[in-house]
Amino acid sequence: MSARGEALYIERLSAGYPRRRVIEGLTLDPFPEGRITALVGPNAAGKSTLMLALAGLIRATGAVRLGRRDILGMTVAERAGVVTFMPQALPQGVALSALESVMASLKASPVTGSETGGPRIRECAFAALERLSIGDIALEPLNRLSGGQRQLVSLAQAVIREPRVLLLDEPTSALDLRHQTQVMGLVRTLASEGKVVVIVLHDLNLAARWADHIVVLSDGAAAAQGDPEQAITPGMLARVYGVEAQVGRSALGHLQISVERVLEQSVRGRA
Amino acid sequence: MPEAGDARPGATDVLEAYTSLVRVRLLVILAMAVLVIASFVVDLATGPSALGARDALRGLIAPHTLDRAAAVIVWEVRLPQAVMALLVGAALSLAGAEMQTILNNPMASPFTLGMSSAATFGAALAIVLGVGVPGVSQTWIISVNAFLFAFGSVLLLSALSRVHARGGESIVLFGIAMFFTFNALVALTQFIASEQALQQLVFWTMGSLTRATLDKAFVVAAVLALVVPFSLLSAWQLTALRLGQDRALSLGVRVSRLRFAGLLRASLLTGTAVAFVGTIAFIGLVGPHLARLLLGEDHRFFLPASMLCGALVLSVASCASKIVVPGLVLPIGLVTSLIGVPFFLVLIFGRREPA
Repeated sequence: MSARGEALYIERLSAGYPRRRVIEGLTLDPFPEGRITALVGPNAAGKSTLMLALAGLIRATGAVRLGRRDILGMTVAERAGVVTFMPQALPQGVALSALESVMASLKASPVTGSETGGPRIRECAFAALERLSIGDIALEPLNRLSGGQRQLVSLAQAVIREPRVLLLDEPTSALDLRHQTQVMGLVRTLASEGKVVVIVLHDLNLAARWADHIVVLSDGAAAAQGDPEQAITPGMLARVYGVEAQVGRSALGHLQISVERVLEQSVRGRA
Repeated sequence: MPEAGDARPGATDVLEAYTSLVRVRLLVILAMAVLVIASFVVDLATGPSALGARDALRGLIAPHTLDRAAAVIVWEVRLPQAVMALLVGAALSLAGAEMQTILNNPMASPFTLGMSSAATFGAALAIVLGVGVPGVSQTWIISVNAFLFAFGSVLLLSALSRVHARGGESIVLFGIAMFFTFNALVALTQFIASEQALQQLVFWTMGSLTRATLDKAFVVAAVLALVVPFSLLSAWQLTALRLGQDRALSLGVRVSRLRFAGLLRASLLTGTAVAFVGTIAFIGLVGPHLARLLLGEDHRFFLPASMLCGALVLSVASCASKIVVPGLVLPIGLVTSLIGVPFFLVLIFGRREPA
């Protein structure tokens, strides 16, 4: 943790939707600053709900604090100055260029809107695209980009405002291997600049390779948490995912999960 | 995505290209303004009377050169109608543009979401039953009723948008339900109407500029002047809303307030426009779509372009309504519907999402 020590604390958090409570009284180990925290877990485990609650997009009770600052109690505008959320997908059929969409992310925000004017905003927006190596599609309309390209533009919109807490909901789901690695490399850089980075990932190998801290969610509760070695174990994989799997190491020393087979319900229960 | 060996454009190239794109957009807006003026002049110069283009224009510049009858035609018939076509076109189109963005639905417009039907019902109450706001003179009673009902219908939509903060779709469905409800209520009033009232009501529902006066045009202009600055001030927020509600919220945009204010503006524009000219279909749909095709959805350009497109289409429709059948002025609502329906179908069947 850096000198400021501003970890993200989640305590007794309850969140969900009008007729469906997904998370109930969830308390997690602090998400450290300067590190990547990955939220993993099977479908419908509550990963996206937790993300939306942290982003202030659904009603939640309990405490979410950055250091001593209460994030749940902030107004939309105050929260925007601290937290940035990247949703899973950009809507389709939007007749805006990649550059304009990033410019709008800067100008529409009460945090950065008045600081950036004229040519400066274009330069900032283009630099954000260049950072993800997509400067060449800056003037392409979003509705003509591939799913992967849209995801990269979406990431550029999220990172341009230099937030303290960066929440990324499956930022690599539509990306090929090269771009996955590139994006995770960028996420690593952003974390090392002192941000709290929280990222929802479906790919456990990707999470094990890049995350410093992993929270395994299952039915809205934490089934395991800690560094990748602590969180990802054959026991957890059997209990939470219902698969028999081996956890080993690659030649480069990264944690590697290989799934052998699906466990029968009874075996899963005992595991 | 280019390979590593490709020559990648530098920042200067891209930013210069963007600057020239902005310049092109401004030129397109200027060109549209010129077309609007041209259409306005043609609109002034055409009509069932024998008054030619040259005399009509001369009469505008030097009124004393016209005889009494010609002066009435120019100043009390053609000029109010031509001005009203521009203002109503701009108002309905701006309302449609904002509604499409706010409700995230390309089919949203004052007509498709029932505001025009609500206004018609208000007018029907005045025409058929003589029900109106106490103290309002007979000259204005139909307009005031139409305005109140259109405004009220949008307030209902706005209230719903506050309750269903995350549901643009349910608001659209509610609007469609209003469309059918008010149409049924209008049919009911038609059923009980006297022959004379029925004739007046049917004429009203067709939408027509013939009731326009300079006073009424001034009211529409004043509402536009009041609303447009607020629309333009919201341009960036509206653009950000196109990137999705969650993202806009995460940027700090207060989406429910933006939505409420936008619907309020749309209700003022629609209520005023419909009150004076009756039901004019599809302008609120066609105008924004043309603007989007020409200039994209950066709302700094999209909103003014929508207004110009709406003004242009209604002005051209006004010319057409006088030219198609010589000696007769067709109700302009019929003309816009005939232009609008094929356009609507192209929109529905032509929507293709790229991979």
